[in-house]
Amino acid sequence: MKSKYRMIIILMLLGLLTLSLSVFGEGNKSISLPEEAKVPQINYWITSQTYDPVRYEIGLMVAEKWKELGFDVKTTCLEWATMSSKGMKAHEHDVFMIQWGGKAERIDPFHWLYTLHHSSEAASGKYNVAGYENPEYDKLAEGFVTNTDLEKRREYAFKMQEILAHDVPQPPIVHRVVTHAYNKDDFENVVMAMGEGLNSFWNWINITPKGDRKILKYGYVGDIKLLNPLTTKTGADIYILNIIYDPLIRIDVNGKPQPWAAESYKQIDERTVEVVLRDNMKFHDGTPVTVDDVKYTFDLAKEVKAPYYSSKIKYLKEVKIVDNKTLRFVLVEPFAPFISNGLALVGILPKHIWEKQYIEKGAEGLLNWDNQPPIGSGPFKFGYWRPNEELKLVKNDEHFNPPKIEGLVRIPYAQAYGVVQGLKAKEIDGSGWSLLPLQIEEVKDARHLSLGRIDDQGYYMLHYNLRVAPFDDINIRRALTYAIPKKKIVQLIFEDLAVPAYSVVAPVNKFWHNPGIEKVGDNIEKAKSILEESGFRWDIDGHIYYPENY
Amino acid sequence: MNGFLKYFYKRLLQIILTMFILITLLFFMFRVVPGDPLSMYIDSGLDEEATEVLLQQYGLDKPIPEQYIIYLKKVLRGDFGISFQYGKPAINVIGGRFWNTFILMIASLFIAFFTGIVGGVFLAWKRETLIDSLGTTIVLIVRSAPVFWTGMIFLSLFAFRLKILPLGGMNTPGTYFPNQLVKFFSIDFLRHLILPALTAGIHSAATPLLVMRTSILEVIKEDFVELARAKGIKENQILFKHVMRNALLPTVTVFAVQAGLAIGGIVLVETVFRWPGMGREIVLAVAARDYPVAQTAFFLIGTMTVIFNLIADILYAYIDPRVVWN
Amino acid sequence: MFRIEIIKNTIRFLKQDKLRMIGISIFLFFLVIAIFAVYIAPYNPMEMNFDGDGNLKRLQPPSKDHLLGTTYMGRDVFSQMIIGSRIALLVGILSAFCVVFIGTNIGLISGYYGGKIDNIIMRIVDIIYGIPFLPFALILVAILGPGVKNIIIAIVLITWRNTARVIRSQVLTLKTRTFIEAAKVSGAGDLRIIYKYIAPNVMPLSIVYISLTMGSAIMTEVSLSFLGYGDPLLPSWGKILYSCYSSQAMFKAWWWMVPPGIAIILLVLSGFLMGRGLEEIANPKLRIR
Repeated sequence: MKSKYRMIIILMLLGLLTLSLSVFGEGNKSISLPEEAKVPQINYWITSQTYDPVRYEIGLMVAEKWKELGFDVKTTCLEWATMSSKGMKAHEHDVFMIQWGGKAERIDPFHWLYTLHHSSEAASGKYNVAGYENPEYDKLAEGFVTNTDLEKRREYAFKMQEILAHDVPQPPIVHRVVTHAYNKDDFENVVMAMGEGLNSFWNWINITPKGDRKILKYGYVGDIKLLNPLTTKTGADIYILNIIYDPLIRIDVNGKPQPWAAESYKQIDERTVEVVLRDNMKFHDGTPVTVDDVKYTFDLAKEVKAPYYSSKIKYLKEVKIVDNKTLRFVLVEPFAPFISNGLALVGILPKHIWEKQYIEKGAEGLLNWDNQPPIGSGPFKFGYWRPNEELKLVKNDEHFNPPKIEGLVRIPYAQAYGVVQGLKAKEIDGSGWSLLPLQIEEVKDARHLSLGRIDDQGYYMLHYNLRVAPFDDINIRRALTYAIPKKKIVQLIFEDLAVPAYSVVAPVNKFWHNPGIEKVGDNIEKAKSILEESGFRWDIDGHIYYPENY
Repeated sequence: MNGFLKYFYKRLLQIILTMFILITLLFFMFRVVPGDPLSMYIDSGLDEEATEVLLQQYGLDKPIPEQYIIYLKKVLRGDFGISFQYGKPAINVIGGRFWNTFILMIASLFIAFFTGIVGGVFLAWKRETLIDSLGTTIVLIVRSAPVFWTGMIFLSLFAFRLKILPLGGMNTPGTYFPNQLVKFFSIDFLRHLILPALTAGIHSAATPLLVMRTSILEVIKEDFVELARAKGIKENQILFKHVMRNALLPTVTVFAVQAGLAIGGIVLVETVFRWPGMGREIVLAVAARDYPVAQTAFFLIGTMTVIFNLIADILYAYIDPRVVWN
Repeated sequence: MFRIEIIKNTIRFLKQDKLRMIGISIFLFFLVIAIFAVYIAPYNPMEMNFDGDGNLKRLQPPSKDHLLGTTYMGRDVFSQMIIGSRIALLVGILSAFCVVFIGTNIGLISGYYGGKIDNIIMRIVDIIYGIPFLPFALILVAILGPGVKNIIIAIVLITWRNTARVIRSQVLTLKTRTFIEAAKVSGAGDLRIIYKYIAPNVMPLSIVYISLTMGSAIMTEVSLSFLGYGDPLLPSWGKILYSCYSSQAMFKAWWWMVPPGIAIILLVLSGFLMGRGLEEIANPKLRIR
């Protein structure tokens, strides 16, 4: 072998060796206290930067703080799908973070208070990911769900938030500030609603044109995918379906249910809700909306096990037609959230169309049906959909509460930057896509644009696993949670487009939120003192050990 | 020529085998994965029951060997399954993207071909001058630069600073075209096409350009060129008629090979420019664990690769008959 | 004294081939940086930097404190570049060796034995040629999990195809040479012939391929990182470009976008030049694919 070749080879091998050592080698630290008493390593799962840069950065910041307290923290990047199946489903985690969306159906805090924390939901596959089991809490939660008196429910909700703020099984970290932009020169009466901002139904109904232009164009990243109300899973699609189809009840901007397609509703007993249907409603093809359509909708959803609807009507036993204007919904057991999470989220389907499709296609075919054109009874009619170009909805003049605009055009953009350019160039009049700080700076320059802001009802939540050490110890949990630099996270990672979160029910949800709870966070000194007072020890390298006789 | 035909048929058979293995490979890779696709939708409010229903619908609850047989039968019918994200047959989702990638590929190969040939000729003509050294260096640099980085540079320069070309995507949002054909020939479309095609094109042109240059330099040294010179034929004529023809063949071969490789690189170009093609779709589908769409896209991309390789092999066989009688 | 002669000869020989010298110099430069990276980098690449008032130093242009400026999250670009060189070289060199080792052996065996073995192996190689590299690597890494190890696996699984083919055709030509015939006649076993007589003669070609593969391996790692599937916790040049692109700050921060590209160009180029790639690649008769 020629010597010059030999030299290259030797160089490369040497380099390889040195590199491997430097990249993969890790030093070992010395210990001076009994090994068994050492607090076990915390394996913190974070998402990759690609999937969610926010959770990635928060993870790194939080891990740093925990290391300051002396904990041995290892950050591991997992693909979301893996994290979801191992963490969300199998509960094999130590700690990881989820972003819970602030959807309309979560305004009644059933999801936050019961589904996430009741002990019955701690089994594999369910949402009490932390495995929190507190009998006192369970009793309150049960009362919250079965008692149909709103004030009593509120009392329970307040008490539950107090307990959770103290026990911190799954502390909330921050609420994003949803920031949307719109053209204030041409449109007014913008309504920013909880959880949905500009995308909300109330905005589209109320927004009013100022000038001659009566059709509003709005931009969003990505096109809609599917307009089948039984199946669709994506938020963007649901926003559209929400204005084409009318439900019996709608949640207003304050979070309270209002009759909509229903003229009125009444709680007859703890299991039954009676609803009187509004007169003179018609589907977009002219057919009148009757109680048969309403019953059919719920029966069909149950029968084909429609993924999107079925979770909302889980507790529904049957729908009875009382007369040609009245229906009764009978539940399997008392379930107070049925009205805001069930009746308010199921759009009425036209029986004459869906029945035919069901007979032709069967259940599976029906769930895969693209439902074009979607015929509902809502204030907007379907105009046309040119995939990847635009979607148009037209005002339904015959509706009992028609919108102020003549039409709505939804334009999909390839990326958020494009949306911003579109707003500035007046290509679009608004965007329901929450803007990032860099984008907001650009929008501020444009005179015709205005920003609408609302705190998110959803939040980033850190899920501890109470089934494993060290999260099974309440003092450790409280200390770790106190160490979380929520304010710095808001400032550095969100550039102040967020607010620290303390209660599992967001402050923006004024009716249900308890403002008087303990605010755990941003206090590493308090974290240290909690640990010290409970007897935890540290060795000379600063590693934390359990108290004697633990 | 008989041997050639035999070779061709053998290759065809091989292609079919390759496609089969590709499909099988894909199937198993995706199924043996930790995490399932529904986990992408868990926080959309799907409870356990709905999850079970969807699992059943997508056939994810049957044992794997059984899933495979069902899968094979469907693929042979052209049915690649229903996209998890879009609810439409995967073939429809990709179908919508196929032409976008195809056009981008053709445009970039066009640019690559001409740049390669003209550039190679030019540098060969200017051989041993400063221009040759400079030119070759530039070509080497382009070849060594990540294609997506070149794209980012172009975007910064032409779209952001000079503002003469759009920032990406395939057309200006909100514009409306009566049909596909009009769309593809519109100025708007072409404006969006230039940068990505240029980026991919010059990257693919680098190797063929160098090959062209070297080939010309070699052919020029050969005897028949000396003969032509002695005969008194003009230098230009020599260049074009005799030299080029001979130098062209190896270049075209290398070019076909390059084209086969460029298909993979299209993924990067489509991502940077947000071009709605198969490459970008496969990246999105993989992230969303949308098995059917990712499989279909991969399969189509694989098919294109195989076809280009076949063309390359035929061209090779043409130059070098020894290859055939392996 | 004998040693000095060799060194002198080596240097003289190298100087004759200027391009290769340039390639080696560039490579050495990066190698040294990578080995001493921890000592050279002024900051922790993942650390957010604050100024005197406690404000985050976001997207700052190059300055005395930050030679290549800062990123969107206030991280020092220069440090990220320095530490990132480690991954580039690690992936590049390790993949190159693995690929060429596997490819050369397969090429040797396939070429020497011929017949059925050769047929089967070449069929497999052909099939592997049908697999589009980047989409495959993407899927594999996404499935196995983003990380240096899996990226190297993805690269090695496919890239050996080039080396195998070329080595094989070299072996075919060598097989007919007289000294091989002689060895056979004198009763040397197959393995001995392959590894004692043939292998040393294909080595130069293998080494060329080590250099070339290093370049393409680095390119693959960078591409995968750009698509978001690079190692999530180790800084790499591809990841720097990924962050730059996805934060949408690339138009405003040339200091963030340009350096990684230049570094990649230089390192890939060096691999190319070291392998005298210019001539070998440009010569179609060598059938390099």
